[in-house]
Amino acid sequence: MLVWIKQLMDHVLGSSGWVVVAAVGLALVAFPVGLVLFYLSQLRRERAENYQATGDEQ
Amino acid sequence: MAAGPVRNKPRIFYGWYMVATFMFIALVTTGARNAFGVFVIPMEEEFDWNRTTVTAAGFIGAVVAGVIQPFLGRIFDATGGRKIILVGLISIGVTLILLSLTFHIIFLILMFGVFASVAAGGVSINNTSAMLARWFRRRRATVMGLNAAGASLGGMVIVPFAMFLVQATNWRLTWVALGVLILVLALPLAFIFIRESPAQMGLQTDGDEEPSDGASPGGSQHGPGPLEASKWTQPFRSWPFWQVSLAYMVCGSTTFMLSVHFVPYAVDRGVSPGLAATIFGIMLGLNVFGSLGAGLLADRFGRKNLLALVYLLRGSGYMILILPGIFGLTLLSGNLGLWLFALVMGFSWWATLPLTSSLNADVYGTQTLGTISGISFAFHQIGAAISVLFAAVLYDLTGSYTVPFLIVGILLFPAAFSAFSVKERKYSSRYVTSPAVPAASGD
Repeated sequence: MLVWIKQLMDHVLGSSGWVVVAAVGLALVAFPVGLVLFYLSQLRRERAENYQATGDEQ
Repeated sequence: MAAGPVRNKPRIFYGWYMVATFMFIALVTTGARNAFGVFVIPMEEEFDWNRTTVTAAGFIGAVVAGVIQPFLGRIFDATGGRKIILVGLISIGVTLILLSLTFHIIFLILMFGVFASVAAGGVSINNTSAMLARWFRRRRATVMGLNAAGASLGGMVIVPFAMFLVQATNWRLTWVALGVLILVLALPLAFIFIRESPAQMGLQTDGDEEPSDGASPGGSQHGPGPLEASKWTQPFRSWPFWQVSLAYMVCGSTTFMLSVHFVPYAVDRGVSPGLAATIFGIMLGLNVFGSLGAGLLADRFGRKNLLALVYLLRGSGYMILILPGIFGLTLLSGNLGLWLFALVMGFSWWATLPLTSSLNADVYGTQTLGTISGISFAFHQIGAAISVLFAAVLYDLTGSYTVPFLIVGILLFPAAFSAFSVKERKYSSRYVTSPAVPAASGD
């Protein structure tokens, strides 16, 4: 099966294994980094909304 | 009483960050362990080992993972979960890096077969699903399905990644890369996001604004079910545990056997090794859809009927595979039969995990769920180990896989009945919340 996966990927990409390594590696790094950044952006937005709501109430 | 400061409900329930974190953990840890096959040939060539010697490490790993899971589940329940997941990630990362120093077969068996299996048990889907069960009730099966899909994707993503890295560099550097991946990416993510319960963050289960009490049809209730277990031994005295776990044992035997014997079986049927591997690869790819679909449907329609349906379909798949050959039906005894089997098997392979885990959580609660899921998983692995040896022995005796495949296929029908006969509406906290029936008397 591993040979088949390699042949399929070689056929699709037509290039060296480094392309696959770099692409998958990039995706693997992007997921956790993206998740943390998204969480921080949501946290910031919620704090701003809460601050605004508190201000309106006062 | 003065009102406190206004605090808007979070746009995104924090539990979803936990789901994303656990999916990533499952992807890298399951993927790294499944990538073992990539290392077999280069290690054989360097050390002049034979195939049986190297694969012994993989087999021992599967057995250790099953045996250790109930104990790790017990520690998980006792400590809350976050610590064991963090320690598990550190341990598996370090163990994978140490595998780059392999110099003797005993070292490989100890590192991969024992240490990596124990470490992986700490971050297993059983434990992470048990933690997710505390965060979600209405969408419990859905999030468990997502968690299982992460593990399925791990095989599809990490295995080719490791294979190309071995070819571009060498096997030692690839072990280091896999270990670093876990230590540098998964560990910080777990450290940042994992919280043991919504209460720890001042939140309610499912992100609700207020806790709700009492049962309501459709599965949106809170509160313990009648068989809620405060001690991990309590489920042994009730039927649902045995109905689910024994069916899960059949599940293990019907999946693990295929992992080892499907390609040789297909080749025996006259299919080329390349096509056999293609069919197997597609079967594995369909897992992702199977686990996701099962989770979504189970939250809408309940767990046990769907679980029974999955076993029934899988059993029918085995019959499609085997019976046409016995009865001389030429149309299905060729490639068409293999493709149909792959389709049915692919969708049902991991579908049992979110269904079994969520059913256990609904019936026995979350207090001892790590241990209970661990014991269910041990049943699964016992079935897995027995089936692999059973198929090999019967193949040697009869010269074909027909008899072992037929036997495990037939076993799926009683497994389906076992799941179907679980009294979900009587014992699941989705339907009832009154602790009227003591745990010891559940029938």
